[in-house]
Amino acid sequence: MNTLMPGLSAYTTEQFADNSRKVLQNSLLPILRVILVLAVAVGTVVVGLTVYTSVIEKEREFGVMKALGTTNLNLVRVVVEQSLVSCLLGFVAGEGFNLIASALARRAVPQFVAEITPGDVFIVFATTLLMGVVAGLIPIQRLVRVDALAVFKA
Amino acid sequence: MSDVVLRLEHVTKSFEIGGTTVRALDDVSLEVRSGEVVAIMGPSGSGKTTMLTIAGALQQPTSGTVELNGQPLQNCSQAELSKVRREQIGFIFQSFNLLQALTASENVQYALELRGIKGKAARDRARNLLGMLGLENRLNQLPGRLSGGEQQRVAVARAFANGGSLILADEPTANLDHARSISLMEMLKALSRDLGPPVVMVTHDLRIHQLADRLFWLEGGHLRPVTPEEIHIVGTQGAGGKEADARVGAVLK
Repeated sequence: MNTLMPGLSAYTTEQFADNSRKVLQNSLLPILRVILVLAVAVGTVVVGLTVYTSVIEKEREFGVMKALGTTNLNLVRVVVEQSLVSCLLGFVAGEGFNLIASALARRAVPQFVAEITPGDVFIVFATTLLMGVVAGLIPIQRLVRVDALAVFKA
Repeated sequence: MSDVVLRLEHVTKSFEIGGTTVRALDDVSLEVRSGEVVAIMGPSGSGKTTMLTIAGALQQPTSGTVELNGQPLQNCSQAELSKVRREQIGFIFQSFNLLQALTASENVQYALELRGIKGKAARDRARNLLGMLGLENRLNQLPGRLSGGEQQRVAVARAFANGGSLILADEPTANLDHARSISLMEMLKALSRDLGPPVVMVTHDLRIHQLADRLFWLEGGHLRPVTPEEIHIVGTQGAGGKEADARVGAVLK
């Protein structure tokens, strides 16, 4: 084939698949990885800012908790728990959307391949937990500075 | 009425404001015994709340000693002071300061959980305390659904919940009308008598002075005992001219 039509490359199925895989790995996957890292970073910051705003809104209540004897460590724990709950709700919604969207895509385009392994789900879950903890620690300085004496002002 | 629960000796507290040293408390001494209700009165800015927060392990005096059940507080770390607050002190605030996301019962349970009492034991004690204050039908209401008087009663239950040895109240009747103020004071007095912890209350409200066992006047950082006769009610009468509607303050005669 190559002799008959110079300039034209002919591949076996295996060669073609291998070449396609290399193209994907060298061009598309690095971009997807960068997008993934950015998504995790942006997600963490968004959750962190949400938690931070919530801490500011509830600063007086945190002051009351401090006045009643809650330690800074326990306040941080409460906020990290709230952050984790937010992230886990996002995880459930995200994974649910992922499963539904890939099922719909397969139905619409039978050639479409979407493989979601338990390992993938676990990695996303672990990343979600990490995001929750990191985001929950963003307002830590603000929490520590909450003044219990301020709750005595009417 | 013999055990000294709270002892302040020669307490001073100074603040730096705009390069000037302001002495909020000047050589203040006070002993509070089990089962009594002590009212601290005085003009605005006289240091009443500062005194309350020092007695409540929320800030340290500049000099002098503070003892709660014989334990000196002035050299404690923040963590130790937090422990003292959650185990030995109950606070009642002017603006109630209930946790808005928690029901009446959960607000009381929170103080118990800080003390390590959880689950059914905490629920039962909260129900019992709120029942004593006439709130047995309001256990599951959020603070936003309660009246001011009801919210303050929840705050009272929360203050007594930890079984501590001292109740500190900052203007507890300031946001209540006359009838509810008297009712609250009677509840505080009854709870103090029945459960033991003395109540130290900062107030402008002379209408309730007859319910306190001892009165003190704090002005210019100096604290001294006074009698009801030494204090003169000032204020404006309400539209109906009734004392019940009056906005009341107090000055020394």
